[in-house]
Amino acid sequence: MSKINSIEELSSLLSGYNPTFSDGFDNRVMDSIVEENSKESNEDMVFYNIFRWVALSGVAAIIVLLFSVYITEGSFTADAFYGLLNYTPDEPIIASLNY
Amino acid sequence: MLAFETIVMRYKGLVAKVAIPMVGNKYDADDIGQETFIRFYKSMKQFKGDSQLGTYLARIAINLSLNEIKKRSNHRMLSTNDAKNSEIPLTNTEKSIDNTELVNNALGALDVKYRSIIILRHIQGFSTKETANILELPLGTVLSRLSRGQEKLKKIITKLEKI
Repeated sequence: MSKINSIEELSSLLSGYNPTFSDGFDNRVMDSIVEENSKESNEDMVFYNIFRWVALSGVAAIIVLLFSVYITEGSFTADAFYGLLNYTPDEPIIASLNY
Repeated sequence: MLAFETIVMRYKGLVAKVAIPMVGNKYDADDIGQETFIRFYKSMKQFKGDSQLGTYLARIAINLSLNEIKKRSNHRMLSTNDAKNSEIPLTNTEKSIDNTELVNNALGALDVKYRSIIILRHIQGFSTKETANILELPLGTVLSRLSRGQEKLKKIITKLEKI
């Protein structure tokens, strides 16, 4: 004799079906979440380190540039940066006359 | 973290009731369950609470289960031997099978499009509207599939009981 003769009986059979995950499911989920978090923070650290190295290299390059300008020109003025400290306006005229 | 653990404790039953009958075995369902909670954890900022958390988790679990079934069927197409090693056996060698096994086997023999609706509507107890919302199907489609699925399931169960 079948257990199922009507939709109500089918519904009652199905509502009594109560499967569960294997033991320790909660712990496995939480472990995966912790692992996921540490993976994400590792990725963040890699990005932060790259950014820091790029920024430090930029700062170092600027310091070297300032130092070399000061050594060659002996000054920190705008003309020193443009290389115009020893430039006289007559120079191009003389140069074009000599050409 | 403690709050999330509470969510896992509270909703693992719901996710189990979706994933286990969908894929038919505990091992794959365990992985799907874990992945469901991980996906939820990652997308928690996007969850604005416009749907209930249970509905949201059920949708993730159903989608992951459908992906798993699809993956299996693709794999089965490549390996003909897999048909013999079906995850959800239709027959049972034991004389007396309990209701859990009976439901498992019957659902395993049911077409996926009916299975998902039967699980959400009857096992999980979602309303037809919620089921339609989770599966992103029109209400009419859900109702017709539900009716057809119930008839098919009744026939399968009757058949299984005779074995």
